[in-house]
Amino acid sequence: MAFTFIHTADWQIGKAFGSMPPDVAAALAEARLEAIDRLAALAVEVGARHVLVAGDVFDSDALSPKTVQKALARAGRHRAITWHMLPGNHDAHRPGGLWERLMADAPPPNLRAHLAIKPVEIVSGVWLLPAPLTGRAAALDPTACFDEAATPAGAIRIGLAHGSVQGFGSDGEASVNISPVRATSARLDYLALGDWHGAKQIDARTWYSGTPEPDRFASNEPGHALVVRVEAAGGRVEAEKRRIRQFGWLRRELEMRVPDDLAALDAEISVAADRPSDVLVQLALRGRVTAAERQTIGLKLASLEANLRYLDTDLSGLTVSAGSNDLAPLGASGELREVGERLAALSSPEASDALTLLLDLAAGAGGARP
Amino acid sequence: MKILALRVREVGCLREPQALEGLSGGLDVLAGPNELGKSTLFRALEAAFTVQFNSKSQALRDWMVPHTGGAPVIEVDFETGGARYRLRKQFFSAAKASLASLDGTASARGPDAEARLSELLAAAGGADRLAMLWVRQTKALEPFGLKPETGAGLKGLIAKELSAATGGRQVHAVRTQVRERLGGLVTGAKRLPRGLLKEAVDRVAALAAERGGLHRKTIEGQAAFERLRTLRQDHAALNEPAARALRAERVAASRTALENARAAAERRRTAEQTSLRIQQESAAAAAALEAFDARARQLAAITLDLAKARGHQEQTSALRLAALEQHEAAAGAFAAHTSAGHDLRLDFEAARQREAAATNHVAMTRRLAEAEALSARAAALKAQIAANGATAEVLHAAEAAGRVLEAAAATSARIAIAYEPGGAGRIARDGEPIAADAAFDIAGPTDLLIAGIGRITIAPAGADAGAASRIEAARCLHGKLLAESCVADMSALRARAQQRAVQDNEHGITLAHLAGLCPEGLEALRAQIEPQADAEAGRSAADIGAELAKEENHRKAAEAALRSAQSQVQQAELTLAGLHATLASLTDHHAALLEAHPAPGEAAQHRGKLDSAATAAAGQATQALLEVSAHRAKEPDAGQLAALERDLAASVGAEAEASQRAGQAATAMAALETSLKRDALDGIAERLAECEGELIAAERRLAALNREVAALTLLDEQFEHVAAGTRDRYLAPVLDRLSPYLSAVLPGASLSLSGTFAAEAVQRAGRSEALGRLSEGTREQIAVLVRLGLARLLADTGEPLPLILDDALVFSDDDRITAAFAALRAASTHHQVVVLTCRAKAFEALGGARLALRSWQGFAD
Repeated sequence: MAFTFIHTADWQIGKAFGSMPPDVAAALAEARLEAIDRLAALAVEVGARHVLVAGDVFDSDALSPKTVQKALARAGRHRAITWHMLPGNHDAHRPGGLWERLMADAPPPNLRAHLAIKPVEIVSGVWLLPAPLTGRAAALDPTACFDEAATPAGAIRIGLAHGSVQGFGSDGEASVNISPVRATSARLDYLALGDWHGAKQIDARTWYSGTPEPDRFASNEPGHALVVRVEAAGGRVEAEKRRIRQFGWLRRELEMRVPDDLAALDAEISVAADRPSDVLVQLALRGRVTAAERQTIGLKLASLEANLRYLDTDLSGLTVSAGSNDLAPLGASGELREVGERLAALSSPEASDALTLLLDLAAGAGGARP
Repeated sequence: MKILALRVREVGCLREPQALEGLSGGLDVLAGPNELGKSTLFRALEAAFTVQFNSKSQALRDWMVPHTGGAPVIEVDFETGGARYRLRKQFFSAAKASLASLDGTASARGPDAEARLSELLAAAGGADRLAMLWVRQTKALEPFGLKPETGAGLKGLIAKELSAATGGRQVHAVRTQVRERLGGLVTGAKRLPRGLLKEAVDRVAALAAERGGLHRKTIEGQAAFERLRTLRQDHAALNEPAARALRAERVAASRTALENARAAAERRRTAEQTSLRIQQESAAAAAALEAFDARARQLAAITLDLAKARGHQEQTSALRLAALEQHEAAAGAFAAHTSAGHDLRLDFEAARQREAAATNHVAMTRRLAEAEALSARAAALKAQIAANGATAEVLHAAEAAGRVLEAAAATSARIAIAYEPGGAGRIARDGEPIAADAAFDIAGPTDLLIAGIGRITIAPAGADAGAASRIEAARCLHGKLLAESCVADMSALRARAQQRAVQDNEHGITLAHLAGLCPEGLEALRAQIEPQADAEAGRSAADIGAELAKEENHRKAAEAALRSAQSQVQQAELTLAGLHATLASLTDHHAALLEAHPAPGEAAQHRGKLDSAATAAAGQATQALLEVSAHRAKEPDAGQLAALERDLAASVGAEAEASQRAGQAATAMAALETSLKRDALDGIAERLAECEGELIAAERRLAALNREVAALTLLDEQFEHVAAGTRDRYLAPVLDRLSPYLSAVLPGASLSLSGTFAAEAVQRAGRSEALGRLSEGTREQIAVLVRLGLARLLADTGEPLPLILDDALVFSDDDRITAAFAALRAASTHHQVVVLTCRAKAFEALGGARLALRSWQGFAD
């Protein structure tokens, strides 16, 4: 029998984005909840009735009940789907902790929290081998017991765990090491992993799904879920990566020669999300430009910021050159000119800022803050 | 520019038309007394060039219009740009102005004249420069008060030499913005954060503090999780059934072992008590046998003692009888000697009294003789005193009467009566007829009655009516006292009185001696002597005393013998009493022993029975001790018993502790679960995450502001640096021109100028002195010198202006003013120098063209 399910992880519901402006932070938090709806929609689309969440459903094990209930309500709304949730390092299952309270507060019937290392038959002939974490770190491989876990002959064995697979460069956040050959040693048809926020395949039967909604400027392809189809016990496995994210997070460092070098961003922004207003950009500019170019860049950045959800610019690496033409706004001679020339000769970040400011003030622009 | 002439009418104190003409264009000097109008001329010249003719300024009116009213007119001839002009302005009343070239080629009136004047002044650098070079009286030390534009204009002038522009208003505007923005972010000198920067710093600090607190709570929460896990494990382990059963079994086993040990100890204690009783019985049997034997020994010994005591009693009784006999003999001897001694003592006393009476009789006889002599002397003296009537009282009265008579004699008149024949007895004095011729003194009024003739009253001058009678009385008394004392005059009376006093004294002394010698009186003394004359003679007291001493020795020896005999009797009686008591005691003891002891025929049998009983009891005691030892060997010792008790206590305690720990764990678990739930409700984790993000943003914001401060600070520093360089450059030409003048007045000194050309400090002898610390004279000289430098610079740049000084060197000493004159003379070769001074004599050395204020000839409205 074939079994199709959705593999996702690292929802990290309740994550705060305090470094962002409040409106952006609120939108990002809401997007993480809406990702649940999009996952459910994907499940419906591919005919999957089970969604496996491989840990870090919540950002912390000390979240407010209100935050937890919001996520559970979203999941409970999709009654055709059974959500299999696993405690990760962020939301470890600890006595008196989040999961204990969650289970005590009448969770939605379509939610199954796997809090014990014990094989569970989730569908006839399909056995889930969960490895819940009980702390931020684990001294031993929590999936080691999978090797000895007994399931009926011919059953599909699916492992569900959270941690870092050793030797594959998938160093995640958790101090939890997982054997790279666990799928083989435990005769697993599929090992669904969480912790690494980008989608990543470890071997034919082992995958990280990554987070469905990115939460940082990273370059590991976050924002996906995997549609997994297991043909039969020991049979072929297919994992298809599907985009879930709303927001695209771009971090770029550009070497500026002319203001048009900023145009390189445009294409990336269009790919990062459906619309520019769902894109967050962290931009660092380097290089040396003329004062006029510096002003043009400033105008372009202002335009870009107006279109994006968020733009964080670092212009400390962008210095202003001081040729005779560059200082023309300061006059051919006189104190302004002399000050400009002295600043240009200093070639330090402070001098560059000061020169830019001087040019702006001399032009009557008032001078933007660096 | 040069001033050629100045004329005024109805200006200030110069009401009449006055003219100052003939100015040379070089060094022109107007010297004159106070109130000549020099300062009015200065202000008139200033007003002509800088005040519009139609000005309504009240301040201008106040000084310009004379108190009596008028229409102030000022006319100036001047030369500028190679042409000569005449400027004339009338202020306030019928105000008007005209400006005409003196060659008659051009002229303008009213506003046109003002406009043309402005053009001419602009060509000369502007009217503001006049303010720099025209120094009003007492104003030399005031700052120039340059407006930025003026300063820039001057700089522009200087820049002609420097070929550099400063930027003027634009620089000022940019610098102002830089400083305002910087001042909005940091404080002045200390560069402490303020405004947005302060807010950013505070926010970072607040968020860091909040993050710290939240982080601590989070760590505490993590620890709480671990603690709860441990508690649950402990609680489960404590409540596990097998563990509970094991604890119960251990308690039961400990309790059984302890009970067995305690039973063994009880058995040993019972055996010990039995053994003790048997030991006591054995000891009693042995004691009964021992008592029998001891009593038999005592009976034998006491029988022997009785016999000994009785023998001793007989001997002591004999000794007593002998001692009694000795006592009786000693008592007789003692009584005899005592009686003889008594008689002798009586005799001795009688003899002693007799001898004392004899001695007394002799003394009393002698005393009586002396007393009788004294008594006779006293009687004789008494008789003599009685015969002498010159007592002290008589003497005193006679002397008083004598003094009266002496006084009367000193004041009396002497009357002598000599009868004529037939007339005798016809004169009576105070009623007493004077029988014959007489002469007498009168001390008071005296009536002389001449029968048939009349009464003549004679009185000494000042005598009163009673004086005569008092004198007469005194005379009578005096005569009577002398007569009674059997003397003729006062000296004899005094001798008699002294004799009587000596006799009185001796009589008193004699009576006192008599009273001391014979206090009892002569008769009593005689009565005492007479019986003693019959006393008999007998044995002497010494003889009787010697015999009495011998008898006393005999009596003492008899008394000692009596005492010795008494002691022997008492000793014997004491011994007998002791023997009697001993015998009584021995007799009683013996009787008691005989009563307790069996009869001699039964004693052996009785002792045999006692011996058998003691032997049997000793055997039983030995057996009992063996049984006690056997029980002791089976009983756990104290340490083993204590160990068993500890074991039981430990197992019971472990059970109780387990229950307690289970309860405590349950309580702690409940508390931790509540705490964790509360932390979750507080959303600490979410707030920590938010706080960390906010802190990152706040730090980013702070870094950006710090960058802005760094950029603004750098920009400000660069502006300051460039401005300082510019200032140095544009001040240099002025300082160059100033240098020769300064050397003349202050040799070896150099000067620092501010951007407004104000002198700031003087450098002399390697030291810099702030201008404010210099004397007023030096400051005044420097102010003039700076203006000389400026004027020279203007002259050198082709825009010469006259330097006008109104009483500007008032504080200078002789040497300095001489040097200053030299500087002014040198300057006047480059531009006009006009000096107005009230110190005509002091300024004679200045030289130059001397001016005089004259009537304005040809004045016409």
